[in-house]
Amino acid sequence: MCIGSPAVVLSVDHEKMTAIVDYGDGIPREVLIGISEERVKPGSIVIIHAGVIVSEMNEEEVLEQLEFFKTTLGEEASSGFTKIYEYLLKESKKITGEKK
Amino acid sequence: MKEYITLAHGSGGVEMHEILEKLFFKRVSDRFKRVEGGIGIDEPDDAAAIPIGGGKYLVVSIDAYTVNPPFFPGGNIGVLAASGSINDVLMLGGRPIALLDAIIVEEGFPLEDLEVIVDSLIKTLEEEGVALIGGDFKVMPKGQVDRITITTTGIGISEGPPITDNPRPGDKIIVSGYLGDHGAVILLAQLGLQSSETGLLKSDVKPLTKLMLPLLERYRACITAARDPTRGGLAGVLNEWASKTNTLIVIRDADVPVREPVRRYAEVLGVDPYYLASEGAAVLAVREECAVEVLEYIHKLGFTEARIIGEVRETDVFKGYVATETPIGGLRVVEPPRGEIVPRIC
Amino acid sequence: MTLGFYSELEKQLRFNRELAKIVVEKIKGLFTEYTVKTGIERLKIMDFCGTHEWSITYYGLRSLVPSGMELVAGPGCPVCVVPSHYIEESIKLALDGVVVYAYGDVYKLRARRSVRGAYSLSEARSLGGDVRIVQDILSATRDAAGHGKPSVFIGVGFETAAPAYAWSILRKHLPVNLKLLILVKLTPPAMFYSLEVSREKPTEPPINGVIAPGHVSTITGAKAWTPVSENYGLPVVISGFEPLDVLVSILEIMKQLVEGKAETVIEYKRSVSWHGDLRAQNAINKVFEVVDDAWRGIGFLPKSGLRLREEYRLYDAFYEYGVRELKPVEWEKDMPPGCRCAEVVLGKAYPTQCPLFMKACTPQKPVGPCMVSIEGTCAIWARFGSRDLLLRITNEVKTSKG
Repeated sequence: MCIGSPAVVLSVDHEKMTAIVDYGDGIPREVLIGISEERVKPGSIVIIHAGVIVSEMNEEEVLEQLEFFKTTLGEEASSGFTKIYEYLLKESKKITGEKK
Repeated sequence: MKEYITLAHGSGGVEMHEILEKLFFKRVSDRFKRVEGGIGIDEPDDAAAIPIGGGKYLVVSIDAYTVNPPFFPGGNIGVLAASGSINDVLMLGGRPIALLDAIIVEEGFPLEDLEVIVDSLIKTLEEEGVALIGGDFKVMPKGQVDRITITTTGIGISEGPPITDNPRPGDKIIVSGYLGDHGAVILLAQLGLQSSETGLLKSDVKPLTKLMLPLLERYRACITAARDPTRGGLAGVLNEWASKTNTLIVIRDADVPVREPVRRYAEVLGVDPYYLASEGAAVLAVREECAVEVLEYIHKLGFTEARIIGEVRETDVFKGYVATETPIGGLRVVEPPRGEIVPRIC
Repeated sequence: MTLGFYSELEKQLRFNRELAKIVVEKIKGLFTEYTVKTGIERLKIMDFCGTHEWSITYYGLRSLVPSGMELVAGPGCPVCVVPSHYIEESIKLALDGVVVYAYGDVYKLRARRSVRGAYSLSEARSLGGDVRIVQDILSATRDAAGHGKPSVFIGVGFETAAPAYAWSILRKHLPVNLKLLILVKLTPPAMFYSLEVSREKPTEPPINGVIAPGHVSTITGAKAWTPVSENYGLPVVISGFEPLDVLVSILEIMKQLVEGKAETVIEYKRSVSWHGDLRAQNAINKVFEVVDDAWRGIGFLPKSGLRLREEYRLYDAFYEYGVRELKPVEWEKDMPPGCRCAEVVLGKAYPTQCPLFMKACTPQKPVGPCMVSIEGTCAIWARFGSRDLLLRITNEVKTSKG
């Protein structure tokens, strides 16, 4: 029913409650922010349905996702996700590093 | 109930075949569907062929180009009209030698734009060694035609029997490169009410001379079918082949080259890249015993993204079907194109 | 700009064949265990989202799950369930000179009766109506502001689309010449209705588990579905849309069935929370009121649709153009004779069991609502093949030689 595509947020206009995003085709597009605007920042990965941001995926939630796979599939089956773990770990270090 | 022509009739899918059948194939008597010994609308293919003696054929194609917008990322209607007819001649096994064009332009069209378009057309022809030997030029009152249409006739010589598409069980399906680029760009331009920026999407429009001429020279006997997947895309070509030859064509999603930005954009719109047009790619059916060699040769010609994407199979029950193995090992049927390609929200 | 970690995650969930194999084996294992334990050999799992149905068919999941497991689609397409009446009204607007903005699938949607020769907005365009396809409301907003002509946006959708319309109004994006024809439907009432129908008249096999909508739940929160597990005793998994998301969700349902549980669980954790997005919910409540609404193929369901509140009449196409609402008494005319869409929508019949399927009713000339939207179950089956066809072709592909 509701096709949703991931995109990365390039900038946010708080006045209009819109954001400029890239779906991965390199074309900046303006979309409405449908959810709480503090969830949407430049660099956020969001899900867009019919031109409106309906969800944002932060790293914590992705880690929860990976945990869910681990419990449902068992440790050995989720080896495919190791790379994502490493990436997230690296990213979180980068973010905390920036803060310092 | 009165029936009307809709855009779906021109989308290269099931509706178009139905209307062609109704308007032409049924009305033209069989003996006038081709020139004696040649190929005509009895074999609806990219082009027609007329025998000229010595085992050679004159290959002739015609196509009307009405692209909206006339200028798009990666090209314009001039390059498209030249490349399209060159490719149609090539796909029937002909070496393109000449082209004729008929341009209809709307009153008020900027001359500067027309110059750019015509220059592109001429440049494309000259680069491929194709002569422009005739044409027509008409102007229609404002509003009676949408900016510009170009019709081109491509003429070529086939040194051997023309390649009428007859893939056989066992043949491998080869694509020469990324698919769907042109279709994605056109959809973008038509829907892009907001941004003129082009990002990573670019039409693949180009003549396939550098691919097809060496291939024809060396491997003509290996190639059982050749087509450029324009309107209707890969899905259209494969479905036509399967139904024409009563075979089952099986491909693998993971092997079909689609550029990442095209895949992303198609996903946003909810359209399948297999139905998007390419204007600079070829789909070939090649006999099993030469397939690997042909593929390597295509790579050497500079078409490094070429791949074997599947094969033609004999079948008792599933004649005319195209199936694809999905990346995770499932299977789905690739239906022939139907209707206009429009984005969906749901 | 790349999608970062998401690209990698997507790659795994879409292309990791080994992982898919493991999940499929686990599903098969639990299925056998369940059969041994209960003697039940056939199971039915229902999805409620057209995009789930799309993933299931597009990635060929029906060819992977145990043959005793049926994956059926519920009323998960907001386009298919738009009553013909509103399409007819939209065609009228277009033919009367109003610029009509529609999503691609609404543009193709066929009405039961023709309006001055047009059965759809697409045909209305052929007859001279100004119908423009858009992907989102912002594009319509910009375009309409540019030309200034009287315009209407056909605002279909589920809870997922509602915030777009709400924020367009609250943030004053809409130019004065653009009005909204809001036809938003709410999904929980339709799910409860489907389950109620199948409880009263159980199908064989009955519904054993539910794959709940992922993107609707980003707004409503997973909590919207707890009544399903509580009242109907069914495992409910809110699933993502990649093929492995759906397979893992099926695995979770099997786990619950084997353990005798019936819980609402989120698989789509990267996007869905338990409470949803409160700000979006508030915006929806502020702008819209909940009404009893007509679902094509199903009927009038209480409290199942949204319309603009009176204070937002300025934006309301119903008010501006006097578009008539459908009354419950008129509703029965909406189903074409012979069409079994109502049963298909409720998971009670397969498209192939309908006498019209691919005969009188095809994607080019759809008769029933299930065929009209590209995401309708019949349209999906027409494009990607039915389960039966799929299983037979799978067999053939495995055994045939080139």
